[in-house]
Amino acid sequence: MADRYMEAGFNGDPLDFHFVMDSHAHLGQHSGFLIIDSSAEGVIRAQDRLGVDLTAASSLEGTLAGWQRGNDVVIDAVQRFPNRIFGYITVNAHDPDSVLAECERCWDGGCRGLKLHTGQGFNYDHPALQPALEFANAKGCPILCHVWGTELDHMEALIERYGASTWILAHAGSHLRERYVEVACKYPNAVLETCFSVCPKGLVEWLVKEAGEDKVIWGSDLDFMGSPNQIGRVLFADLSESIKKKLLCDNARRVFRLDA
Amino acid sequence: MEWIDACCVAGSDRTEPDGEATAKRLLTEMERLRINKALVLSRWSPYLASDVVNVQLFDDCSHSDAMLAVPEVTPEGGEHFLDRPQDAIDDFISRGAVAGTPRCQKNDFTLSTWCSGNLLAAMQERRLPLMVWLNDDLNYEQLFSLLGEYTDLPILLQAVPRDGYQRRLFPLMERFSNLVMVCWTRFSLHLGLEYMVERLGHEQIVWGSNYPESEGGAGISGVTYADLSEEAISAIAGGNMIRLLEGVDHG
Repeated sequence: MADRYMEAGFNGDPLDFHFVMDSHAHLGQHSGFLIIDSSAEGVIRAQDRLGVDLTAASSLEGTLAGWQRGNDVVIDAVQRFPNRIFGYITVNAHDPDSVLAECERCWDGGCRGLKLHTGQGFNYDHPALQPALEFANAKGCPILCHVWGTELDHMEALIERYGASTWILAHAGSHLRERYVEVACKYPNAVLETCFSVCPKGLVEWLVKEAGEDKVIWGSDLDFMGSPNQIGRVLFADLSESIKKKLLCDNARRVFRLDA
Repeated sequence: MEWIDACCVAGSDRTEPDGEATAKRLLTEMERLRINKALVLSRWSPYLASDVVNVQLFDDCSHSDAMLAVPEVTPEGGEHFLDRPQDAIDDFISRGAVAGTPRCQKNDFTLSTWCSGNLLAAMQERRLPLMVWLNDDLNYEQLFSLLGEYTDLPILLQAVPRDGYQRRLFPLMERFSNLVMVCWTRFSLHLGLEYMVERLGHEQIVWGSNYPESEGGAGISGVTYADLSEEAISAIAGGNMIRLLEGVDHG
């Protein structure tokens, strides 16, 4: 029997029956993919189709290359669309002296989360990144980390040390899936984020079963890929309506402290 | 709106761990996702000879009108139609085949005319779509040659990755109307489907679930949430495939 989430998916109807948050998205272009309209307007256009109210976004250029102008794009989006875009700060680990100042600049610009990616060539326990982590922890803001399994070996001590932040482990289950669950279950301030281009059948259900329904949040990786496929993984999952609501809404509200 | 899945794998049972892609499980999944029909490839393909795979596939598909067989096709026609590929194709069609797939790597041949000319001519004669996997069966240059030589042969292109800018795919689709891309869950581009339809029209795009690897609902929502007209969504969901199936010459 189809529930209202499945019905929305079948009909292409926006999810208008509760708040929906995408916890992992981007603005800007990537070197490897065709991205049509990487602007905030383009992201909002796509998310309006789904009924996504708030999209947490970092700049692809900032995430992967540490370009400060990437943060400028995010700040601009946050300021123009404060109710639609939640901004992640990105830093340049190749320029350690810039890290803290860039965090402060972006915070002042309205960004309220930190995004890290090993694509810059550094593990998250590298000294160059510690000022950013300390900053995020002092603010109590979420830290979204690109994780493809092996990054977790460098993260556990950080998750424990910077306990005022909630750590969002991206691409949960993409590789070494049991490790994601192990870490998420071990630390109260760690959650799993779902985006994964392969859309493996049953993975979302498995994450919920193993880590718990309060430990999984939905993310799309938009504009790195399209958000419609990724939301379908939750809408059509073999989960109850109440759990789907947690993945799309309740857990994100808690992690991003939207009700604070 | 009719949904026809152009990319799934299933097959008969054997003693397997829970979760194997049996025909029964595929039909259950199709019912859950309101998929009307599916083009089915054999799950036994990696393990068995093409002749054996085809016997099993036709047997599996004979139990449900919703499962449409996509047998493996070979240049020589197989054991029972040796060096008579036209007869092999006619036999496949009479047994319900809706397309044929070469599995070039496994079956050790190329789709170049010097190797597969008779097979391709036979399929073109019957308008039986050729289902090919990018990189596994051919690359873009080979696809260009194939499309140019067999302009009336519908070619269903599988496994187009989202990587890259599609700077080879789109010009090929523009130039050859017989090239049809299967939009699967991994071909997920931000506003990409919208761009493709605006540039190329919707007639050369069909949809596939990638069962059992991927969540079929992700494929469905990739189509239904695209910012497209109802006409375009309906065509991609099933209309275009229906047109291709109706085009097969049953002799």
